[in-house]
Amino acid sequence: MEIIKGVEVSLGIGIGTAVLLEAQEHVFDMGLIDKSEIENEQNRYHQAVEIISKNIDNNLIAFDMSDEDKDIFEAHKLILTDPVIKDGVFLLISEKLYNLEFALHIYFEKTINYFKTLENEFYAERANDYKDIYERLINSLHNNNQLITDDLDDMSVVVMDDISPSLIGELAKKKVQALVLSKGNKTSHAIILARAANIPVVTGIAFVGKIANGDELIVDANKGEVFVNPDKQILQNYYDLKQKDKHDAESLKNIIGLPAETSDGKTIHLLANIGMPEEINAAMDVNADGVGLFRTEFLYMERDNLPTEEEQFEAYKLVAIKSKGKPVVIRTMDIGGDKMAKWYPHLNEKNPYLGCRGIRFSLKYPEIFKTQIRAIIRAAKYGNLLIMFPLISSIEEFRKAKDYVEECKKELKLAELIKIGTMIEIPSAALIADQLAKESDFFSIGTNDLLQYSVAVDRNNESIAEYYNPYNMAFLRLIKMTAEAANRHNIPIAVCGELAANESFVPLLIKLGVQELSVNVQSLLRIKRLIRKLNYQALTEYPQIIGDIADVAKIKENITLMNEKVFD
Amino acid sequence: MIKKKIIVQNKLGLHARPSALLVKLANQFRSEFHIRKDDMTINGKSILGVMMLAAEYLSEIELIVDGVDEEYLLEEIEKLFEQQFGE
Repeated sequence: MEIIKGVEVSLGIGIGTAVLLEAQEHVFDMGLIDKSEIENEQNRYHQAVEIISKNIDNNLIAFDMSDEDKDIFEAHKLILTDPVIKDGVFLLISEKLYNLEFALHIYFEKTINYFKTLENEFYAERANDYKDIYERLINSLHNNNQLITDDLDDMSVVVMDDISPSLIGELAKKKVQALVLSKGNKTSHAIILARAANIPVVTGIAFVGKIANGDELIVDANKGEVFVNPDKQILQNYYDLKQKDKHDAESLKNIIGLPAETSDGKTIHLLANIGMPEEINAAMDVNADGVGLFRTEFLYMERDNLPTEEEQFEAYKLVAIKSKGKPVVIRTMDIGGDKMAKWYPHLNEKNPYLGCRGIRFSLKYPEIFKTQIRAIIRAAKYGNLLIMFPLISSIEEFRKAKDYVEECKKELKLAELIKIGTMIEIPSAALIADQLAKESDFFSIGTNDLLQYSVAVDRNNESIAEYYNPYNMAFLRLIKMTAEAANRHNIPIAVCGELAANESFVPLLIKLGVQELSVNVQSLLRIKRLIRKLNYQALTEYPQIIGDIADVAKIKENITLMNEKVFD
Repeated sequence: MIKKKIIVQNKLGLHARPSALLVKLANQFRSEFHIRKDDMTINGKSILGVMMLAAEYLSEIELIVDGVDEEYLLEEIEKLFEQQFGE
């Protein structure tokens, strides 16, 4: 079995047999014409534009797509009918006597390169739009999509280099399982249509020599992974998952527009965890109440040098803008522990989980820290950004970190009001939550680390995995203490760890006073559905279960019993 | 011909959606419509042009309208900017 990692551009899971399709190269002449052919070339342009515009209109009617995807299509239509582009192309035809293909090639290449040079990420991305339009025009002039799709059926996983929009329509008709591409980007027509047609797609898969016709494939387009000839057990797991997904997906769509509130009207803020700026789109698509945890490690990992302030600013700005005024909690870098970056100073720690990670690293290297803080402060004017410090273990650390924020504000001469919160993930922080609450604007509990540090178990160590048990009373008491301290001091209390997406624990967390849950995007609607079935009054009236019982099995039983009583 | 300077108030700048709205609006009028930013002047009836401006939040642009219905066109464009393109 081999697992190939790519980029997920249309979510879902597909299981089936690989069918490799070879796209035909565009074979056409780029050459010169005779003066008498000028009008003919120009007419060919009009015809191609008309066909594609009509095609886009049909797609807009036929497919149910997100507003964002619709906007891309609308913009593409305007590009197609743009008078400046038409004049530019026609000038190359009439003055230089280029044939249409040559003129398009020259004109679009120049345009694509112009956008690529722009510093602003949004505009630089527009290069993709023009590339896509160019390819559609060329495709329409040369009907290159005569691929043989007879062999495809609802058990096929199509593997190819790149795909055209018209072929997506074919694949949708054949109800193929998934699509694996080596090229292709998220905003191209073809991929938009694949999303609208619910075809799972993973791109960036260099399949040559790794996937052959007839191979059994699992395409996990939620994670961007392709399993080639998977083991039986994994296959079974994915079959089960897919079955469940299918059931869920339909019923979950219906609640996207509805608030995350209990059946008796208590609002729970349900936010998304993201680890890459682009994920904000998916978070907004499921109507998250904001971002409860924006992990910033992506900026620092997998590279040899540190990210510049400008680079970070752009990333935060993107998320700030796209979150449309909803809160976004940016967690400052949590490097160290199991997350090591290449540029990271070699500290030679025997025990990195207990070493220089999280805020400790930031305080030890203030220049690196301040670069990040400055970028966040500057980006804050574009949206509702909040700052959260990871791995706080004492009030002094929190104060020091906060001082740096003030220092950066002064240096930048910006008086942005940015809320600053503490991530509670070390027992010592939970134990002084009442003190931290006086100086923090909010709390967010990171349950994964809090449990690991509570029971002194490395959560990646399988031989002692049984001790890493969230039904542990000590751990649950720490959550309770933290929530009580926050509520007493009137600051918001969130849970952003895995527990927030665990259906067995959500009622308990809410009962303990947690007002916000931040979960990964894929889990968000599932948790919303759960919240909407919850009866808040029944939950608050139910006897307290974090009390004097320390027996793990008994606690589990009690929580299960409670969960049977608190749903409508 | 009328010229008028305005500041882009959209947090996203003139990104895809506002550009599209602006171009669609301008194309309903007979007057010519150009936008100047720094030393670049583009045809405001062209989405390519508007996007090439890469007008970010708080950047200053100059609207230049010229033709029989220029006043009405300018009025409508200003409205669009004032409403921040409904965002």
